[in-house]
Amino acid sequence: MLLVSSELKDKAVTVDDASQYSGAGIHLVFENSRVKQLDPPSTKVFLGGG
Amino acid sequence: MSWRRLITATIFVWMLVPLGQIAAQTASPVTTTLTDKQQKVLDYMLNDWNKQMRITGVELAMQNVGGQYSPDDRYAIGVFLRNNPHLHRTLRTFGWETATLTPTEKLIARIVSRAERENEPPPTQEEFARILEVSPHAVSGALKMLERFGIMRPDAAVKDLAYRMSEDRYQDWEGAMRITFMNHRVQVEGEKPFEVF
Repeated sequence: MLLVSSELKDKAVTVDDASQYSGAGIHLVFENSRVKQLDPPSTKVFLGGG
Repeated sequence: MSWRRLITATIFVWMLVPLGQIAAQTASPVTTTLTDKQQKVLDYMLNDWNKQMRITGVELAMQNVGGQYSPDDRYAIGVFLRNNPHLHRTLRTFGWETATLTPTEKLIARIVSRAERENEPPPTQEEFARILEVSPHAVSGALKMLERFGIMRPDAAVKDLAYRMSEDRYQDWEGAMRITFMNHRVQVEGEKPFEVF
């Protein structure tokens, strides 16, 4: 998230991750540091790190 | 030469032999030979790791470099990374496993290690396929590769899955600066994907 809000802040960025607990996939799309798409929608995003 | 001097010299020589062996072991890291195309992937990774927060792994590096690569190629590069931690600080900080395993292998290892720590039965191969949204064949292949790297081992006593983590350090891998079985893949529009820590 640190990259999304700094080095890549002016770009369209997709991040693929997985739930820490279940391993289920997490798909995030950012544009200009702002969240454009969350899958699953219940995903919590902490911009700036972590 | 007096007896005292002879005994002293003998003891000195005996001390030098193991010291010399230890020095030789630390001075010359174990190297296996990579083919030209495997070396190309390694060079790509080392260059990638010089960029901020990057830790692009073997599988994605092979994809980005292009061409035909097999699981045997990834195994060869993974073993090379394991045997040569001097190659890059990223490797020494996060470990060869982080740069070598695929996202699916990491997720399986992460879930099995957690189940072992919490004394719970791990998911079956069929359950893994459903959770990770991959084919049963992909789960089976991931388990075989984890076994080949010595991270998991077959154990018929583990009901259904029949695999367990091979060492305690793979069961208790989480902690500060330890991302052994974690994966974050990033795609910037118009650029090749990469992985970060």
